[in-house]
Amino acid sequence: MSKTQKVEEKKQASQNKVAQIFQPNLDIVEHENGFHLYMDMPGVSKEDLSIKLEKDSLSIEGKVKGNGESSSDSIYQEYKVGNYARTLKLSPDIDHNEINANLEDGILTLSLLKAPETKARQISVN
Amino acid sequence: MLITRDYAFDRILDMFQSVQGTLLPAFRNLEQVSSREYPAVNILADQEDQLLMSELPGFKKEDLKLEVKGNVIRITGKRTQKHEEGSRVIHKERGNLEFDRSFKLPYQIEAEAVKAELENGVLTVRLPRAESDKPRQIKIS
Repeated sequence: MSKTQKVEEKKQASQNKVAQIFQPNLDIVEHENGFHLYMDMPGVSKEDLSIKLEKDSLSIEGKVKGNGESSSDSIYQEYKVGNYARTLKLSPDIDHNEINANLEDGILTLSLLKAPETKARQISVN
Repeated sequence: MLITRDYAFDRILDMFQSVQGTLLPAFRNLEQVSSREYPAVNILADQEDQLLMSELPGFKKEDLKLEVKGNVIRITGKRTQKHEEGSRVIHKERGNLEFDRSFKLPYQIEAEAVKAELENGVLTVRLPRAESDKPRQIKIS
């Protein structure tokens, strides 16, 4: 078998392999006006991150580059490399229009605000 | 027959994982817990060198220290996580802010030539083999 054939086969095999999906670890911190969500997504760059809000479902997906390519050269493995996905359901108490996202050093930070309705309001009597 | 059935089952599991992946507990978490070591590390071969890789989200360059001596590489790190005053953690899955791990390689490391890179929370350290430790071709006279 020629070398190029072997390389082609290897490529095919890695393409056929379904990339594993991991659920990123999540911390939630509540503050006066809202919440900060922290998710560990090492290996994901900005352009490979997608955040979608559909009705009350907030879906986060991150792709890791070069996923699985170098597995054949592995000498010792303690962790597996894969893509990330997690969906969170937002309660009506959260403002669905004010969601900010920031990715830095492999951590995604989502900032959510509490919905104005849930804050205590003085009702004037007519 | 049994093999076919197992295979089909695997396929269904795979599909379930890719469609419903968000609902399944992360496999990796279990592994990390069972190994009881943080951070988890992978070692790959790249030509003559070995590459050590580790996922270290939230760590900055200045939070990490690498030391090489002989055939041992030591990685230590410490990071702090600050929250605004008056805020409270209501859900916690992430952890480990401090660690100290050492790895022994099957060869002497050329300390001067070690290169480390930190990108998107992933550390990659290239560990070249020391010149004195490389095999030498002996000419037959």
